[in-house]
Amino acid sequence: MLCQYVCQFEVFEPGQERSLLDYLMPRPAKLENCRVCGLCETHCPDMALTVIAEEKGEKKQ
Amino acid sequence: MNPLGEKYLRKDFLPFVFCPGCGDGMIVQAFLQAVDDLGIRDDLALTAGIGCSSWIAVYIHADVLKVLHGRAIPAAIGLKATNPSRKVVTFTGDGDCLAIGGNHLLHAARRNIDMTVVVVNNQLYAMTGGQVAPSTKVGSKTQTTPYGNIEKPLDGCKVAIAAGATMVSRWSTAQPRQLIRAFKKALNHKGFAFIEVMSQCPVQTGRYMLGSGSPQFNFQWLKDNCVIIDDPSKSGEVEAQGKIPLGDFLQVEKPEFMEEVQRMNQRVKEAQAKGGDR
Repeated sequence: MLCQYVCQFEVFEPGQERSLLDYLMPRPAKLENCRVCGLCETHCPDMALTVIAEEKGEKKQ
Repeated sequence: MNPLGEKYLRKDFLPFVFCPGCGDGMIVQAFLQAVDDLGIRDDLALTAGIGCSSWIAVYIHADVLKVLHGRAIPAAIGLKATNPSRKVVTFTGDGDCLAIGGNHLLHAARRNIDMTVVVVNNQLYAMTGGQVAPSTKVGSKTQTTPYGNIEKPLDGCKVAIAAGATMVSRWSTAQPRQLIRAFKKALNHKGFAFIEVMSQCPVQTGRYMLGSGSPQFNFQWLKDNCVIIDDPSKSGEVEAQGKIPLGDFLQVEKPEFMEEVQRMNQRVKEAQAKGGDR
């Protein structure tokens, strides 16, 4: 799971759901840690991830 | 699926046939990001040969010619000759391009044909089970070199430069942002652009050559063994350490082949109009 490997903030962990090709998929277990760096999105070989930054008030989440 | 996939991929071909952790999917994403940033989707025309890397073109919703092993470059030349306004990109592998397709690479680069060749280098023939390729390092164990490779490898970038390519870069899947920039430069470049992408292959390269089929291990191997250089003259120092130099090695402007052909045709017409041969 390259997303888990490249993530600097431990957002991902192995999940229990399987993909169409029967592989165990990672899941974003600690979304609150996400810094929206986008490394997971650019490094996903299956283009399965989208990182969306939402602005909230004066701070970007 | 991320928005790039929704916009540019052939949904009925999904999911990707690539092995888990294969770098080809990352190359698809980087290329599509470059295409999206430039807004050239309608101008795109792709060719591909045979091999894991050649499947990259198949997933992209564009005009695609998937041809015989090693023959993606001549197909691209024909495509460019008949449709000069199209952005022609060839996806090929280290075996497809540097072995059976080597001759086509030499002459397309020599002629400086306006096209981009993307060579996905996983250091062996992966789709057929992991055989030695022209890019395989000396000493590497593969299916056909169980006691170690004794052949000196070919450096695709050096071959392209020597043959006359006017833009040459090498990056790896571990530098997606630099790869996107290189794709954009190549797509905007007028002339023969050669981009070599070092890519992880956990199933073949990883298991037989590097000792692990883990995608994370193979990805880290690329990060540990590829060195980014700003000065192309330093590539020899990096290679002497057994590492792979990455960077933008060359970009120059030279007369492009199809434009020269058109100028020649114009001269011939003018000469014939004047009643002579010259």
